[in-house]
Amino acid sequence: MMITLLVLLPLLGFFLNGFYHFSAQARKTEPSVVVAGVIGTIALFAAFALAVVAWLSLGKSGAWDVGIEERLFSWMKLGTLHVEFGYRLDRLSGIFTLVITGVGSLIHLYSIGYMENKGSARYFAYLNLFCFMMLNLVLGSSLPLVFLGWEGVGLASYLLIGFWSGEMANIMAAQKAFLMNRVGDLGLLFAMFIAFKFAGTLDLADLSSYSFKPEVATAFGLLIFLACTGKSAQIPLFTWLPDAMAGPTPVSALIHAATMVTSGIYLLARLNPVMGQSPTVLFVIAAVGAGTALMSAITACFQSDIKKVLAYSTISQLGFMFVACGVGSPETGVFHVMTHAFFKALLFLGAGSVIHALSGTQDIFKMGGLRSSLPLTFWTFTAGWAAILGLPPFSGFFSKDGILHESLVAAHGSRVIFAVLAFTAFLTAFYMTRLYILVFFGQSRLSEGVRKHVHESPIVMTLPLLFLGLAALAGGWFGAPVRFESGHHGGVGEVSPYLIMVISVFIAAAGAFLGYRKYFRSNHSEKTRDPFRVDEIYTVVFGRGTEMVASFCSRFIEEGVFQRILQFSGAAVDLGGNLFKTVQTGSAQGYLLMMVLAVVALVCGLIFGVHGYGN
Amino acid sequence: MMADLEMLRPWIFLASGILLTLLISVIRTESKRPAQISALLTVLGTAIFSFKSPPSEAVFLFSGALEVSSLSLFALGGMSVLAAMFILGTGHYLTREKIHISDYYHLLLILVLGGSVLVASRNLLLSFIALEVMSLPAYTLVGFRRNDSRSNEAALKYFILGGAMGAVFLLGSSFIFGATGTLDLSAVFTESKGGTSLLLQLGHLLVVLAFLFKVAAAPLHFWKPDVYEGAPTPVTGIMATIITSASFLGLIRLIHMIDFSSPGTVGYLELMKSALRVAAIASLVVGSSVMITQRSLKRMLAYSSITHTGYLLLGVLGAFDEKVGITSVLVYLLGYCVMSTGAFVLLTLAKAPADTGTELIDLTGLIKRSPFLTFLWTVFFFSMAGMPFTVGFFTKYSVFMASLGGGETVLVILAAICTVVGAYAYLRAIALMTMRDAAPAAGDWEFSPGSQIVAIVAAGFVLFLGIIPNAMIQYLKGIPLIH
Repeated sequence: MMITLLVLLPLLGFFLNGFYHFSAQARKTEPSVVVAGVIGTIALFAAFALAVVAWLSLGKSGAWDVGIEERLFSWMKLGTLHVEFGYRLDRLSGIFTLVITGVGSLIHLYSIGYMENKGSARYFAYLNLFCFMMLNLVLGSSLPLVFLGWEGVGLASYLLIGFWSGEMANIMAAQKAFLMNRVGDLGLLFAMFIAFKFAGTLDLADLSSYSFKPEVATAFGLLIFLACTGKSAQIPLFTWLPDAMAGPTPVSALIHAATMVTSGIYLLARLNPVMGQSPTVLFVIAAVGAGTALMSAITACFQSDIKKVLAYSTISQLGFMFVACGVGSPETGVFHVMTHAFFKALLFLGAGSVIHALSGTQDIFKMGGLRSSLPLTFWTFTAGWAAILGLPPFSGFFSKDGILHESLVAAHGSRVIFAVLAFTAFLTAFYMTRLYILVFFGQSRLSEGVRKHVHESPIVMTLPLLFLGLAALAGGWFGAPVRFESGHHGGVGEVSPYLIMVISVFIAAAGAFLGYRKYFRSNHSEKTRDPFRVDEIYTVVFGRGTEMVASFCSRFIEEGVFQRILQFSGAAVDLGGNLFKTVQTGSAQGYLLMMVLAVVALVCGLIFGVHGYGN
Repeated sequence: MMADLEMLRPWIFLASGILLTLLISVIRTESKRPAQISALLTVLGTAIFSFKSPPSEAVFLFSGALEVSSLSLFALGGMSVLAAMFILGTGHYLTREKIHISDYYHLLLILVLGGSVLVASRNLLLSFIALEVMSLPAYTLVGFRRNDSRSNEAALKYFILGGAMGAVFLLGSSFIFGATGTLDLSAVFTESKGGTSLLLQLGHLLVVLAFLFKVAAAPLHFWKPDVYEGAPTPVTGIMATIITSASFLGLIRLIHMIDFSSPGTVGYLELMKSALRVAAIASLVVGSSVMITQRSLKRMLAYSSITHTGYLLLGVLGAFDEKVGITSVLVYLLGYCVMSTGAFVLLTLAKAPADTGTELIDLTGLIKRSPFLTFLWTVFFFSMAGMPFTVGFFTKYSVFMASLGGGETVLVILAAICTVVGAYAYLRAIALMTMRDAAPAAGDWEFSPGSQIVAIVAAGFVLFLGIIPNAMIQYLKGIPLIH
């Protein structure tokens, strides 16, 4: 029952903190952030300890691919559908579980320093709830349980983005994320229908070994992929992620960088055998991934909000992982999920530490020269910067370089995709260096009021930074050997991994150099803009579109057509002697007329359509 | 004969309770409390009798006019429980609106009796009587706020349209009688085995149409927002739950009055399906898109229930497939009734200005005034939007599955898109409630222990059935529709 226990621990934390929140409210006091934080952190850290034990016992049993399964109860029995409620830990879900609980407990710890007392119990309750849902998502043994977690993390994310729900903008951001995810979720729902109809099972192990008919595999794969684009912020459903930065920074680190947004990669990796049955699906995944990576990297170069830069960078890195899944090498994608969780969480927490020190300033053109006043933040941020650039021996080097290599040599790799990714890597180095230099080097551009209060963050915040810094440095070393033994080569044939390494380091250095040249001396403010204007386009197309349908229905059908019928019937009834005059609006006649019309239409259908009179 | 009466015990108990409540309301005119208690005990007793011993085999009484089966007893029991929740949860509203008179209670009980007989009826004439027994108290109840012109207008509209609908139903019945010489549903079913005449089909079509009107499927939905808005809120809730359930189960029974498995009915089956499809699409699109534009909370819930009608029609379409049956419709009705009861009971707590009713904007900042009310609203809205962990998810899931089983792929895709549009409307309400820093709206919320309990129980069921739905599904799977 170890896995079940490990899943339930965060739920316990959720209930404890929820209870704490309400009891504090009943006493009309504010909950203490330390108490709430310790409850939350311990719940998650205990889960992490259990995850390590479970991982070790999995290693001992050697059942990496079959995994350990814990069935709890029979969940749904409807017709031939039979779904067990249970958890399964294997290599893939194990890696995700370790990341979620490990990085999660560090971020919980960090939050104790970052948040203030007000509303803290609610905050930690939500954060624990998120982890519980996320664990359901990755450990669930069947698609419905994954779906439950999938929706659950969406809900927790909604609650946390809108956590500071005083401002309308935050609420709008939360709603946008929620609705965009709903669109994606429909994909998962329909994929479940298809799986059940054709494969007759929703168990993930059975499903991934099932071979579908080609066209069914394509439909299934595209629907799953639609779901993944929603949750993992890929084209076309990516615009919610930058807005989601309205939430507290540790939330951005945990949910919108390290864990939730990678659930799309989890699902693709989990269902990889089915995805692989349709080359179309793989092509779409790789193309969308590469396109998203490039597009958001370009956008990141024009942002001035420190968190927005990181958000677009996350979208771009997720694009890399999708490409890995699309070219047929999900294991490299998952490897990058892990290293990315380390360094991106680190970068976000570092950004949080900066924002915290500068009393809420987020504009990088109003920072500068923070190297000396925030030494710990600076050094750990440097590790994150080096990792995302892919400088050896940092973790990002191994995983990103792996994806670059696979995009060329894996079964579905191609030169075009490699070129796009290489250019994106160049841009990544550029905009990350831009950020790094503008924040930590050069002249200080802080306003007087802010400058007085600059301070290094407390130990609860710097300690997670140190741990994550270490992970960002060394996290890639374990996966490095795996890289060199992958055997399924197709694509453009053999290319030496060492050559790719040299190329990728060269690209990173070139990007970094350009960033250095452009921003080290001159640092006049740039305006934030979105070169692609996707948001505006969406607002026009979908926002207005829905509005138009709604106003069409309410104005035209409900009022327009209807009013006309009313006038007509009113006139008719007037002739007939004001039969229903007591009814003020006279609309009852109109309703009756609608009924008569429906009767006439159906009777005509019956007589002429079914019985064929008049033909 | 004694044995027959034995089978009828729940209905006899209910009828006796009605008489007792009526008597009490005549004797003790100055106090409504005795009538309320009597009505509450009546429905609770009825519910116990109906759930206690469901018959293993269906029994047909009165020359086959009344069916005592797991379906009809479940319907009676369910409606009694819903009535109990409304009696318990909305007394404060009636007092506040100064319409708390004891007549309210026996009218409500008569409505339950009519609705339950409508589900149990196997004879068109009895169905008509049951329909009227259900509708007449409803007309009166809708017009209970005598000093409010909207209430009067709603009652009159509902009455006129209901009367016209009854006429269509009777016309259809007489055609059926003309074609087959019987009003007995089983006999009509047997008659239709070898293919059906135009007259029979015409009659059947009219009968079905009358019921589509009763469940307010678009494009026959126009009366619903007006009537829902005009009626006192508890009555709106009763209409949305008890009357909708009874009408839907009646609709299914009457649709399956004809044997669609016989080859002679293929063309007619297609027509029937097309009509239901059109009604489902129209209900979904109109309901979910117009819902976004509404300012009044009650009208929003009215359009929401039109959308739910659309989803239910999906289940009805799925029920043409013998294997799928009516389980999905029952699942949907159960979940829908629980969440609607909760939502309408909560709505009665809002002290609305008399001229506008409670508007959506009145929810602003509710979380500061009462986090608990906000939580309850959120549960019900999430359930209506079909979020997982709430019963609303499984209800939608089961009707989608059922109608996919019936081959309605396009319809299901459309319905799924409508869930997103609808989700926006519910989400907007939740967002308004959870705005912490906004100044809370002026409207006040009453505190009433009875309705708190009812809302908590309803929310508990919404969450419980949302997380562990299997028991519910297994139970409802055991309830077949008998031809």
